[in-house]
Amino acid sequence: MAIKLIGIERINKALAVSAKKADKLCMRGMIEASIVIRRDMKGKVPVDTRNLEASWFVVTANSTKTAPTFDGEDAGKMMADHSATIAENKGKVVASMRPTLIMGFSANYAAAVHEGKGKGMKPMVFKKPGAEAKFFENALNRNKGTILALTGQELSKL
Amino acid sequence: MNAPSTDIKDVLVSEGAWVFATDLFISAQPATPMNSSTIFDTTSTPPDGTLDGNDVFLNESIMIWVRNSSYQDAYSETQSIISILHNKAGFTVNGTKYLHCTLASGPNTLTGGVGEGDYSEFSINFNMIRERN
Repeated sequence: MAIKLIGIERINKALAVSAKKADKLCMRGMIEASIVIRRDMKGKVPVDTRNLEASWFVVTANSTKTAPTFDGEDAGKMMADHSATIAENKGKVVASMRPTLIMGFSANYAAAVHEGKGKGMKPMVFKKPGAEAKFFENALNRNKGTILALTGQELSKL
Repeated sequence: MNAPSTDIKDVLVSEGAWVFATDLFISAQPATPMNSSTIFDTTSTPPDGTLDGNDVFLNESIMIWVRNSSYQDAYSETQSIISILHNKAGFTVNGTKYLHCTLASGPNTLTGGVGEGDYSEFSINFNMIRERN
């Protein structure tokens, strides 16, 4: 007895097309989520020269480099760090097999300010009213549901 | 593209028990009925663009005044609105995609002084991000 299956190639082709479309929709949802995260952090990022805020970046496989404006004596170094950070993360997202978006701050002191720890691990005191430690982490935690809703809503178009 | 107040009015009508022009209004608070809510468009921050420049996301804000002859009923009304709009994400209204709607502040008591009338009023403010179309 023999069974002949007809159309397997067409099914495989259709599945491949759907998978590619799902990747694009998922990426769109993630980009939308990154916009929400950035907005959510407004007013909460500690400010001195605004260089930390300016060092925000979002990298996807298809994104282009941002050109922030840095102020002060170390503006040149910050720009170089920014370019290097984007290049490094661009490599990661391009190499990823799945839709990937990396966002963050390129300033080399971003992690210390984010944790709110100064010299000797003493808590930092922020000048700006409303600024807080863990501003990025808190925004992500606050918006877990939003991130899932946005990607889910895009994927529902499949 | 509608004013945010118009879109949000439609969200509240479809997901809540409000009836437009009966107990829910936009842009101008009527003298009657006493027990009603009114949505106003308010100022927000500049738009955000995506890296490729193809999409523009508008930051919008609205303020809702909730008025009622009962303080507790007015407060409860604010909670009903908040339960629908706070952290609402990824929805499309009248052809416009909204990424996110979140409570910015409130409920704030607007009345309470002597001679201000026999009613209570609260304001609640929401921030939204929506896609330009």
